[in-house]
Amino acid sequence: MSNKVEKSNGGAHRAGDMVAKFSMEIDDEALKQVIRNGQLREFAATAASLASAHISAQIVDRIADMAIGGSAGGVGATFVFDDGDFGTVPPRPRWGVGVISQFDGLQRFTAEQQFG
Amino acid sequence: MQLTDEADSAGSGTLMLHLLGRCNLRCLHCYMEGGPYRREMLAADAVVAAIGEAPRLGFGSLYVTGGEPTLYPYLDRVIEAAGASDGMTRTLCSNGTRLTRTLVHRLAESGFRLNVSLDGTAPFHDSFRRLEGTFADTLRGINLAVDAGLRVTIIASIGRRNASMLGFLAETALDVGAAAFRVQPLLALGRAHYLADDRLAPAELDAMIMALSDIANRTRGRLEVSLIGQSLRYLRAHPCAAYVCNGGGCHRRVAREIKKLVVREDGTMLPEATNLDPSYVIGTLGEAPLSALVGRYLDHNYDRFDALCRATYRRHIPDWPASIVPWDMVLASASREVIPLVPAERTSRESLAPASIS
Repeated sequence: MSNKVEKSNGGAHRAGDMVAKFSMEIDDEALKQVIRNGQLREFAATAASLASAHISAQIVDRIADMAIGGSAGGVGATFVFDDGDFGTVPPRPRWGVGVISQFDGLQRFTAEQQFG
Repeated sequence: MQLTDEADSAGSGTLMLHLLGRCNLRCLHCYMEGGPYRREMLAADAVVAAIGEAPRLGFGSLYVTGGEPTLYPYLDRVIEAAGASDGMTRTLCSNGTRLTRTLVHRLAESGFRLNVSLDGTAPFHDSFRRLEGTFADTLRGINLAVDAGLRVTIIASIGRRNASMLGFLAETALDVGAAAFRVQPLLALGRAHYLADDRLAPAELDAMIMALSDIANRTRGRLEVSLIGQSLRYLRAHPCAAYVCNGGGCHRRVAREIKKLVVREDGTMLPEATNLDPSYVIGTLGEAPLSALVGRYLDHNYDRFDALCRATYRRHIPDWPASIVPWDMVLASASREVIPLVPAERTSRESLAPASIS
């Protein structure tokens, strides 16, 4: 059995009214075996559970991706990712930090160059 | 992505002071293994000196914790020193049960914020904290703090047994007037090693993230809601968030850096992760000025920690099974493995070059 969540065209995540498309391929012989074993309901429940977990993982992954790029900022979405352990400042890159010398207290730089 | 206020402060570094190991509680999940029997305590003079020196060194955030910091006999001096240090946000991390009207007003006057742990309904919280009545005492402390004008953040450790209590916790945070609600997925650190069965599996973590996202967006403007931990996506895009400095490949040319300096209750100072193996110690608080200890570490003793970060990143991040990586926990666990990592294992920085950053 294999399954996948597909993104639709052009980087947009909607295909018609769908947020995403999910497909599952089941091998005929494997399905016959499941039927013969009298495990059809069990198989369906397992497949549904796997599909649910797979779709959830895809959605969370998309959210995490959007949080990095801030691509949902325009619609006012709030992201919940990325705080530091035990509620401290997260160890994220310090955006726009100006590099003014080789030595600056908590940092060592590779070259004297102004960034940010 | 919305940056926290702390990240916008003058300095970029975080100084985390564990004033003492002693605590009035013995919480099941305590990463510090705090408790009434602990006796370690930082010397007040050294703490005050470090706080005074911290802003000049580049620290923009100060976290004062324990054990339970309200048990520290010299807390007034710490609050006074922090209040006199411009350029740092100041946060006291407490279980909230011992807060008094006098203390919260003193904290407010000195520009402190307050982080308080709350983990679920009263029965759950009390059982997790191993003391009946703790939930009520904590709420009483939070109310005092909010009334005094303190900015309160409620932090919840979430595992399988209390994942369903997220809504209750957010409602409680709103009810008491907290400014923020942060969720820490239960870690395997300290005493929580014994709660392995309670940790969220990847699929459960995803479900919790989505639930938290819904809470965050439904309470937008009234409550800041966030998850503690790095997203896997983020760590893959930015290895420097895993303390893997990239030198020439870095968008700001940082080759060595301390993002967080942790001072443990016995005075030992560790880079970045509270539960790092003691062999990675930078020095001892008070043995020399903070700038000298940090300088010695960056210039002479950095490579071993750097090697640990790189090796741990290479080993875990490519195949990490969940959407969130508790990086400090992973790093701490790796640091305690029997075979020590040595700088000889270091690979080229280019192999860990982050994606281009605009």
